[in-house]
Amino acid sequence: MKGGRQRLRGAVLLLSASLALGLLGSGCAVINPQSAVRLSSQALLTTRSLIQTLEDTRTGLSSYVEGKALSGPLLNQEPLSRETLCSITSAQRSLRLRVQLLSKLAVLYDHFADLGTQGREDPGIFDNAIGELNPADYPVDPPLVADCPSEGEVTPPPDPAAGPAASPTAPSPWLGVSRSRSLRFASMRIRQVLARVIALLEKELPIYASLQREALRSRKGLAKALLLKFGTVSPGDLLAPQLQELGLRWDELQFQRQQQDWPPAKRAAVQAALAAAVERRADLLLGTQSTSLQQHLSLLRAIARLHLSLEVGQPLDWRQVAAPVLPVVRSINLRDSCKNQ
Amino acid sequence: MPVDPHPAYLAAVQHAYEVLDDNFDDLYQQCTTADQRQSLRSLHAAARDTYWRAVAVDLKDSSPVVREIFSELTQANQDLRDLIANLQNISAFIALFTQAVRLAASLVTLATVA
Repeated sequence: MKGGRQRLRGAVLLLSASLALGLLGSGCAVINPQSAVRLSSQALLTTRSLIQTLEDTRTGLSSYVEGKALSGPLLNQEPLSRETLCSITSAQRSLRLRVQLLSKLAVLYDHFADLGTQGREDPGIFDNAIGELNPADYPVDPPLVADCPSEGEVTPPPDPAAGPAASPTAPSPWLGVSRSRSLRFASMRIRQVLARVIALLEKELPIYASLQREALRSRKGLAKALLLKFGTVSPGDLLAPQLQELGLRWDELQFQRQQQDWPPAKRAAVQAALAAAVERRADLLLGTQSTSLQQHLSLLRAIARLHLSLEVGQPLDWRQVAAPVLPVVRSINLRDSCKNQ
Repeated sequence: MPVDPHPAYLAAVQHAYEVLDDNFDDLYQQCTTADQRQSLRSLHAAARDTYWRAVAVDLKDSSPVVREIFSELTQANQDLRDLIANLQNISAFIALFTQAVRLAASLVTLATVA
């Protein structure tokens, strides 16, 4: 009797679990609109931060070309060749296309947030947003050199969703569905796009890191030449973090006056100390840049996982959604404070 | 899924360029003839061009020949590091770096997938 009741309870539990799984599988999970809005806002934060990082890398390449024009004569190096300028232009173009792609992803998240807050139906937007890329809607870089081999072959980035563009006359699959189902479909669509974006970035991240490294090394080379060989820049800002809190300030005038009377060994010691500080600062920046790219990628992966949780009806509170984002925001702040020093 | 070789190839090519670029000023001071100075300038430009070409193209080929060149370039990079740590002879550096640039350029050319 007792055994029969236990078997019955077991069967009921099994049936309930199967029913729940069946409902989730058939799309009956109820999506919490607030969770969708929270996820969207964090995804926007991450996407825009990554866009800024790639934009900084792209504009950094223009500074790189200028820096090489400066350092070439100072260090007896040849100017950048036409072939190299074309390669840099090509790298800028690739970065610009990734920025375009991420901008479209941000637009999708804007729509996703609208769907969560207002329940606004915007038929087809999640199918078409990526496909509607127009290379002309984004400013192009001024050419570094004329007539590069691939110039003029600017094509939109590959459609990461690769879905068929909805025909304007076709009935939208979004019409007449509940907000919960709309959110679920939208989340699935965005997640597909996100997966393709992540795959692209995983492949390209080492190249972006390499570009950042080369641009920073070039700035370091020029800075060291100007500081140590030509004495035309002041190390005041470099030394400020060491001096300010103790109420001290680098006195450039005194330094210049005294340096004339110093023996060569003393001058060499100061130069070696400044060179070591420049190297240290550059190493810190390099490490921060590289970590930032990796963290952005980790964040996008975390957001993709949050989409899955959302789609099975799991509510997402701010703590869950913000947890993976905070370390990245902190590291970006660190980088910005380094920039300002 | 095969591992994408581009990051490793790019890193090796970049490393060769950086060895010369980071030490260019000191090495230039050690040159005793105009020919040596011009060689150093030309090698620096060639190494930099090769690096930027490696950035712009897709380095995918990992055939045995390409892998062997990559291996030789990695070894040359190590030799350059060792040589520069205790540099006695600028001619030896120029000779070894010439070899490294040749390997880097070959790697980029042969590994490029059109």
